[in-house]
Amino acid sequence: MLGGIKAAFPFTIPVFLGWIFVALTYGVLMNDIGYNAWWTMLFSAVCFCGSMQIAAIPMMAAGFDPAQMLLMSYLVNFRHSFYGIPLLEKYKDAGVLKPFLVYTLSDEQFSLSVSAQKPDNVENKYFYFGINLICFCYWIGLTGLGGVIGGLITFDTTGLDFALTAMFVVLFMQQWKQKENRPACVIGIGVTLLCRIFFGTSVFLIPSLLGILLIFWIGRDKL
Amino acid sequence: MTLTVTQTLVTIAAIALGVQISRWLPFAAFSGKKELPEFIQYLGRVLPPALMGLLVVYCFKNTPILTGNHGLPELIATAVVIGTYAWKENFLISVGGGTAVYMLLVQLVF
Repeated sequence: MLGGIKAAFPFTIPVFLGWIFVALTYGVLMNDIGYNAWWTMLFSAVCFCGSMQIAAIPMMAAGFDPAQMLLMSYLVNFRHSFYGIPLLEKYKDAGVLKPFLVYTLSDEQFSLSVSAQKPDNVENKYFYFGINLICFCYWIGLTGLGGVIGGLITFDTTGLDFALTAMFVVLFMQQWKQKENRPACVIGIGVTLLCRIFFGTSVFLIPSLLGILLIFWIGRDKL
Repeated sequence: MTLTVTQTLVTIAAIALGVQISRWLPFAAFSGKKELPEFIQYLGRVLPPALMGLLVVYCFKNTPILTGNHGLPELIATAVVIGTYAWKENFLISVGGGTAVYMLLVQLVF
C-alpha cells in the first residue's frame, strides 16, 4: 500500500498546485461567514466536492434549506456518475479499499486513474488508493490552512491554477495517443464546446454529458 | 454563522448525500452482476477519452476568445504543454513548464 502511495505522489503534484488557490480561498470565505478552520475541514472531509462546497457558501449565508442543498449538490456533481462507469472494472478487485475510492471519486482522481501511466511494479488498487488518499488530504489540509492563514498570503498566485488545465491536457494526450480513442476524444471536445457556446458558462456541463451519451448511444455499433 | 450548529450539520449531510448519490450510482446499479451489460462495457471504453475532452474544454470555459487578450496566454501555455509532452513525455515537466509559462504571461506580460 505504501508503494501505491509513493507511486501516486508525483502524479498528484499538479492537483496540489491547482488546488492551493481555490482551497485557501474557500477557507477564507468560510471564515467570512463564521466557520473556523475546524468547520471548514469537517465540510471538506465529509463533502469532498470543491465546486459544490463553494456554491454552498452563499446558500448557507442565505438561510437553512437542506432539500435545495441536496438537489443542487446532486446536479453540480452529476458528472461523477459518468466517472464510475469506466471504473467499474478497475475498482472491481479493490476489496476493502473500494468504498473509500468511490467516496473520494472526483475529476482529478478519475482522470489520473484512467490515464496516468502507472509504474508496473505497483498493484492497481494501491495506486488508485494512493491518488485518492493524497488528493483527499490535500483538500482537507489546504482548506483548513486557508481558514487559519488564508488572509496572510502575499505571494502572487495568479495563474497557478493553470496546473490543473495542464494536467488535463496531458491526460487528454494520453488518451489521444491510442488511435481507437480519437473519435471519442473529438466527440468529447466537440459536444462540450458547442454546449459551452450555446448554454453559457454556468449550466453547460449537464447538456454536454447528455449530448455525449446520446451520440455514443446512436453510434454504439460504429465506435 | 447564519445557521445553528445542528442546521450546519444537516447541511453538511445534505451536500454529502447529493454528491455521494452521484458517485455511487453506477456502482450500485451494476454491483454483483458477473458480466456487465454490453452497452455499459462499451461506455466504459469510450467515456474516458470523451470525458477528458470535456474536462479540457471545461478548464477553458472562461477564457476570453473575442475580448481582452483573446486567450493568448492560455494558447501559448497550452502549446508549451503539448510541445514538451510530445517531445519528452514527462508529466511533471509539461505540467510545471506550462504552469510557469502561464504565470509569467498573466503576471508580467498581459
